[in-house]
Amino acid sequence: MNYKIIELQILQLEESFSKSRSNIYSDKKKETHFKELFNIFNTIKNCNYFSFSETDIKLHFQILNYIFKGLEFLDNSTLNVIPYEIVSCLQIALEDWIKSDNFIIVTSLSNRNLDFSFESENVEIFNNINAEVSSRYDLKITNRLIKIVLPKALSRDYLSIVVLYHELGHFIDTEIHISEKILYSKYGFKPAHLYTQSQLQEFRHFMEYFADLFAAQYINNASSLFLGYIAHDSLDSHTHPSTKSRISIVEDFLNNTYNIKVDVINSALKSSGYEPFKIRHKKIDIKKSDFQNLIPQQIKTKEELHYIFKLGWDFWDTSEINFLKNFDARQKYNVINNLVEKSISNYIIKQKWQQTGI
Amino acid sequence: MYLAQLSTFQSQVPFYITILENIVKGNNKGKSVIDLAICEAIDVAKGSKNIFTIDNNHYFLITTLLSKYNEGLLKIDSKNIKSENYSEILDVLK
Repeated sequence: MNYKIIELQILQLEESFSKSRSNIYSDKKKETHFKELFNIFNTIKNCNYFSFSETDIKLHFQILNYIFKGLEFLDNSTLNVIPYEIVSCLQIALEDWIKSDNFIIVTSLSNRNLDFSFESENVEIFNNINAEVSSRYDLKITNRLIKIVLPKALSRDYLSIVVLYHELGHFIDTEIHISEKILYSKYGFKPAHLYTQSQLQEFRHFMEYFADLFAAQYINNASSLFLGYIAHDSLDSHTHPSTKSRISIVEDFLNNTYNIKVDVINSALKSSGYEPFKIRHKKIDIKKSDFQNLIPQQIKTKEELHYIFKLGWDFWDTSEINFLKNFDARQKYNVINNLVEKSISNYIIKQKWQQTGI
Repeated sequence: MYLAQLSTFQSQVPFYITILENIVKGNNKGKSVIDLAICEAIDVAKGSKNIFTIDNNHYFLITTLLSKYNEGLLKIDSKNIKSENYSEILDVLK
């Protein structure tokens, strides 16, 4: 590894920055983040990187990589692109778990169908990068980015978007290391390659159960309903438990039926200083829903806000017999998505008015 | 995830190698962070601290030490971490 790798990254980043300069962001924090990344980039570009040691090259490779990733997501989070409604819901859920105001949620719209994910450098990497740029260049990065990837075509499809609650669960798990700690506590500490395939499979399955249960706290079984559509008969694999097992653990959790896996995860959460999984949604009766009158649901609490996704699914699943029965399939789909989106939007705007005292 | 763990290793390690190389050369910048992580790892290795209470701020370093340097940890005096201990940890990370 020599300085040419840094030189290449700098040239590539220069191109990216020149394209991003005219971006208009939806809030000040993103603007500040952009400027901070640019300042670090510019300082590294103008330093004597030709004489970096191998360790310095590796370290700067990671810093420039971090800037690259951040820029990619900032580019996709400009004012007119960000799917504001779902991001607002996820932010509210996130605040239940990470009490910190130094996050910025950013999005990247993917061209691949069902490409939903969360990404973020964990707090340790963020602190390490900040320590280095601070001591070497007297610069800093104020906020951490939480990066959400979602398919461009489905960014306003509130039936499939429930997957993001599951993905938020993965993000939280990676942040607080619950599935990993379960692995370590059960099989001890050893280099990754010394765990058996079945131990690693068990670990990965715990990760999926964690994310499924995390989502169920907020959106009831809406994620399971979508899973039933796209992976109805899937059996156990190295990475994922069978769909049947995943749906079953969620049902046990929602029905408050004892399940050893739920118990293991909740014990690990408690031992790590977090609240165990619990119901964090409030049911809205489909028969009394405002949707019946073709108007957005009047949402009163954040618990009802999260449930709106389940309500959307309930209307979709019963659309042959509910008020939508005389609409064609396209109209049913559009009406549900529009009603869910407007319901969220009304709630968020009202909350902001109340916060600003208007 | 197993692969993510590997990529985490690649992205985290250069920062810790930098600090450890400095410590070995007599520059103590960042030493307090490393010492905290080593002491916490020693406590977990000796069984006096629970894995679930590990500090998330140094999680990678602590679990890497526990996974790859467990026997070494048991020999370190946490009140008097010596230069050779840092050198050994540096070798583990490289």
